[in-house]
Amino acid sequence: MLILVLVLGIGSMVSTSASEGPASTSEEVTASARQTFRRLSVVYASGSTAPELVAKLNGALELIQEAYYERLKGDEASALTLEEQARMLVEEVTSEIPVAQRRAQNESMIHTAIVILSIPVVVAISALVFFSSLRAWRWYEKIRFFEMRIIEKKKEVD
Amino acid sequence: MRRRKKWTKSRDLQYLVAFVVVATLVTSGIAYGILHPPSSERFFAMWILGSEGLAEHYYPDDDPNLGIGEEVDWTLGVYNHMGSIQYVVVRVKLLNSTIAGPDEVSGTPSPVSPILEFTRVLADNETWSIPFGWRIESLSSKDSNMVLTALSINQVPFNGQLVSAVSGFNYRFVFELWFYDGGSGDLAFSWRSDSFSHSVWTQMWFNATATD
Repeated sequence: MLILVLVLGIGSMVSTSASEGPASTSEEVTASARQTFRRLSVVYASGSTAPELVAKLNGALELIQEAYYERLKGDEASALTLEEQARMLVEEVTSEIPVAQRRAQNESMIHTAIVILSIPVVVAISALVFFSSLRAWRWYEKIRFFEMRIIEKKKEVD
Repeated sequence: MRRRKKWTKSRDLQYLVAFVVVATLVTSGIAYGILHPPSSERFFAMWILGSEGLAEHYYPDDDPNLGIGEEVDWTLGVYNHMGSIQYVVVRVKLLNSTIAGPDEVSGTPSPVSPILEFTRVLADNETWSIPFGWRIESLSSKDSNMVLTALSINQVPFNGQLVSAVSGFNYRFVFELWFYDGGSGDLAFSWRSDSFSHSVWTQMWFNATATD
């Protein structure tokens, strides 16, 4: 009797964990997708983009959705396969985030450097143009001054 | 003559210094604007389009009194203008006229559990179109109420006591837009901006009165 109770007890525990298994797998994949998104948003917040990682993460989210549909249709095996594929995609994205983050930092640094360095360059070029224009104007004034003097001299001679 | 020339040169130098100062200030201002662009108004938008991708012909023959097996084709649209990448979830809920819907003022969602969710990561300024084709598979009558017992959404069956309505009038699909809030580490239905609560949801009403 005791053995029977033990066997039934273990059996019910196994069946309970089996029925909870898929739900927890689905929730785990969803939770890890959200964590991955959180890290991905840091890359975007630094002004960079990683569309290939976003596409992969969206692919994983679609697989989770399809797994949910399959589970509603009663196809547990397909649901588990899809969730496993989704989990692998999420892991792939997670592993590629550090590279994207480094690239984002580099891009951000280069962008800032270009903008800051462009300040003296723009100022120097515009100052050169301004000074050249000023010199040209002075030269023009000088020519006009000599022209007037020539005319005045001609008038004096006449 | 030489004195005049010297005077002109020193005046030009003064002009040049003034120009350089002004040009530096203007260019620095522009550079600051490029590095720290002003934030525009943050919002999400969501809409539903009919079978032809327009804001019309939502039901077969434009009749919201649906029979069993009648196919309804909608397209949901979501637009992200939050100024950053967003993890968005569209929660589909089935309600009647007496069940509380979302409250825009308090920013609370409908208390009903969603029957379906659509999830996607949206870049800033990105639009997402979601096909939403559905039909009623079965209805049952209980006293004066009609109970929706089976639906098919995007070829996926949904069974059970989904929702009931008096005489089969005024069922509604409510579509709520949720997003991942990094602060709380969970999905959120509303966000605060300019000390106001903002939330995005939309709904479509229909009747289902005939059981065959």
